[in-house]
Amino acid sequence: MTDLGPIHQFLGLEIERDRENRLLYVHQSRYIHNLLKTYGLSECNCHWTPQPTNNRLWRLDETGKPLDENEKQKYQSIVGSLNWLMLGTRQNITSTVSMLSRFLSAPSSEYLTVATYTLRYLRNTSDLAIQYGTEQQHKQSPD
Amino acid sequence: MDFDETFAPVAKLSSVQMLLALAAIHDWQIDQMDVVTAFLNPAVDGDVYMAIPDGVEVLVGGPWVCKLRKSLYGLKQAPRLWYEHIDEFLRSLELLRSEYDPNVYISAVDLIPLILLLYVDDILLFSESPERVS
Repeated sequence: MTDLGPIHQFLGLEIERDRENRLLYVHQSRYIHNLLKTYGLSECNCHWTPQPTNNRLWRLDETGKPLDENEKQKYQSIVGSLNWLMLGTRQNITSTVSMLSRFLSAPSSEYLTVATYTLRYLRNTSDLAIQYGTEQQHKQSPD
Repeated sequence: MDFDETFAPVAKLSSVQMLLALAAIHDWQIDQMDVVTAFLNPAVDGDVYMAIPDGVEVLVGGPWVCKLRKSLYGLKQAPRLWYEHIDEFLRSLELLRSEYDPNVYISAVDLIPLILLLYVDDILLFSESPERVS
């Protein structure tokens, strides 16, 4: 048994504490940065929304071309990673992830574009954290 | 094959999140531990035999096999054996297993809460006073 001392990360969830104000923050920045590195998006342009705001995502498969086996696997991996982020600290991408998940077995090129769009959004917002604590304490915090 | 249970013990993510929230509100200490070579600890519950590993000199008169006394990594039932092992140990410390998540253990000796969360060989300890952790 090894004692690792106070918690800093668990299952890739990074944990920061502000014990004075009884607040605890959980984020997955490192996971996001590794994800971006894997897909060569570390220096990519960013987006401010989890998915494109203009197109109707449900109908994309009418125009996009089917992905080959390699790209399909890439799509599935990206959605898998997004799913893990969604469960951990990024509940705000739930709607996008659920939409992307519907096309896991037969994605078209346009879905891969949307999945990549979501990664670009995450690059912009990788340091967002979930704050745990009480409402009362929340009001006392400086921001 | 003569084993039925092979699953690995993992806590629910929602248990982790709930305990983090409680820790924030009550200003509990959160300590992390991990168990070194966890799967090597438990004893094997049935008869499991293994071919002699390469490079081991064996006496004449074979063929010989090894009978496992303790669990090994790669053994199908290793995760399950580990869970039974650690479960027994934690109960011996008078920790109560939660009804809602079998990987959360609770102790409230002297009304001071101590909660333990198990994720295979990773352990989180939530406590009010650091002394109780030991």
